[in-house]
Amino acid sequence: MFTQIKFNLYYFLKYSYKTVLTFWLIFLGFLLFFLCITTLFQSFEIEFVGVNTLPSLIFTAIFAVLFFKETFPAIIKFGASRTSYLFAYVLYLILFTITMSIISNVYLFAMGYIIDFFHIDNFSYYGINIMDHQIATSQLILYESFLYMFFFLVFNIVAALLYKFGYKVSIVFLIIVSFPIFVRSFADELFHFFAQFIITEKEYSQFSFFILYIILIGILWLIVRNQSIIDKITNK
Amino acid sequence: MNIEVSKLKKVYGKKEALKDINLHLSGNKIIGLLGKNGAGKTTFMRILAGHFRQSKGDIQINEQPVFNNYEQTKDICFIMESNNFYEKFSVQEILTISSKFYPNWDESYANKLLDIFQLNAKQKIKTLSKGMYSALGIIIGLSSNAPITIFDEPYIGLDASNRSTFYDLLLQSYQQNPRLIILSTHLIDEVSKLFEEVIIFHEGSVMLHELSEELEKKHAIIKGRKEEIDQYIKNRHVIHESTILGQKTAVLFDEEKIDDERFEVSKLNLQELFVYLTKERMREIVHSN
Repeated sequence: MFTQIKFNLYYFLKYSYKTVLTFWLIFLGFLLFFLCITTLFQSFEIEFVGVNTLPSLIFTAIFAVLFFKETFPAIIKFGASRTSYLFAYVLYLILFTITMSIISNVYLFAMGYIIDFFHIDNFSYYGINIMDHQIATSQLILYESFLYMFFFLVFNIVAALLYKFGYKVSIVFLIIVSFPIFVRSFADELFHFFAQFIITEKEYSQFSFFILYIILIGILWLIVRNQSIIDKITNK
Repeated sequence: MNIEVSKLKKVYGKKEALKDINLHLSGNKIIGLLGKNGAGKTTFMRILAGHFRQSKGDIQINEQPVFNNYEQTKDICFIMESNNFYEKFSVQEILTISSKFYPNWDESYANKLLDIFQLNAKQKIKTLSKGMYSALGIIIGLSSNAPITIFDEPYIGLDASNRSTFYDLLLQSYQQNPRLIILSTHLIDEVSKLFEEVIIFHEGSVMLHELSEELEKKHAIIKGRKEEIDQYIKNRHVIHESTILGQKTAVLFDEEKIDDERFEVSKLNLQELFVYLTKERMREIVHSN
């Protein structure tokens, strides 16, 4: 099993490092472009407010969908078992989360330094600290990591569902699952329940995230354990 | 290697792709897996490679199930006609990844094959032509040295010269490292001499499973006067017949020897035999309906 996990992880890293790197480089280019614009036009009233967490979470969601679709069949074709895929996946999930959080915070620190150094007043750049300035930085970094992990897992499950059941069944399933949001009494209950995952709420608990991850990984395992490598959307 | 298949069934929705397949494959040999489009060959090979589960029945390698069993699947290299590799990887990346996953990988041989097929290691998969893509599949399949190597139409887009190179390399690789090679193809004429055993799939069932030698012995073309031929073939297994200017030709199957001086006796090649056998089966189905 260890050998399989090692090879699977190798495949995951080979598959993903260029994509992750490209995203952050494009994002850096985008930030520097706006930084130049705001610096050049400081006399005009142009103000730029950048937030790095939102784009990186959107990237995580899209990347997670593609990740399952493109790695699962490839790895099974190489002979690895579905169990080893899941173990390697969990390790990769941790590595991915750490990488994203580190890069995101390096960006935040570097941009903050540049803004202070050049006294640029009309360019603000925030991370997840935009939510609440009272919370300790270490807690915010940890919370950001939790969000990356959550987004990656949820969108991976969506991708795995689409892969296994195709559009029709998956969409019906997702509608049924998301239906309570649209019923007032359920929605209130749900909001109360989700408060434990929101850092600014008093019900917030890091432990809840761990339980959530275990449940989500369990769901992914149920989908993947006997999964065919034929994609029900493309039938290939 | 010992592959045991019993009552194997695969159903896609309402369509039965495989119907109660029973097969026993053992030893090191090159097996030709033949059949018309939609006969169930690819489905069978994919179940054998652990890509998905059968609906019913059993498939075992060395008395162990295949699905989700790394001990068995690590020894299988299955090259399909398409969708083998992630398109954003380069040729070199695919070779490096393959070297990790296949325990018997031969790197120097892979590099040699890269030269033979003139592939650029730095080229991205998505920029490869169909022929080059097929060549990469062949390189992986041969260099894997997997105890069970399966090629499903591996030469789409390859020109005749490269196909011939592939047959030579396949034989060479088999001689150096004997193993079970299953080759599914529609270009039967080109490869028939490589096969030690032949399996013909027809509409989800195994229609025939014979040693090539036996297959050669088991049939005959007889040619002679129509009346004499008609009389001779009564109650025999005829898979094809034609008459031109009073001269009749019939292809008999399940006939060990024909000693009749009135007739000219000859043999079919595998491709012709395959065509007549599958056509005959179709006729039987049409008549029974």
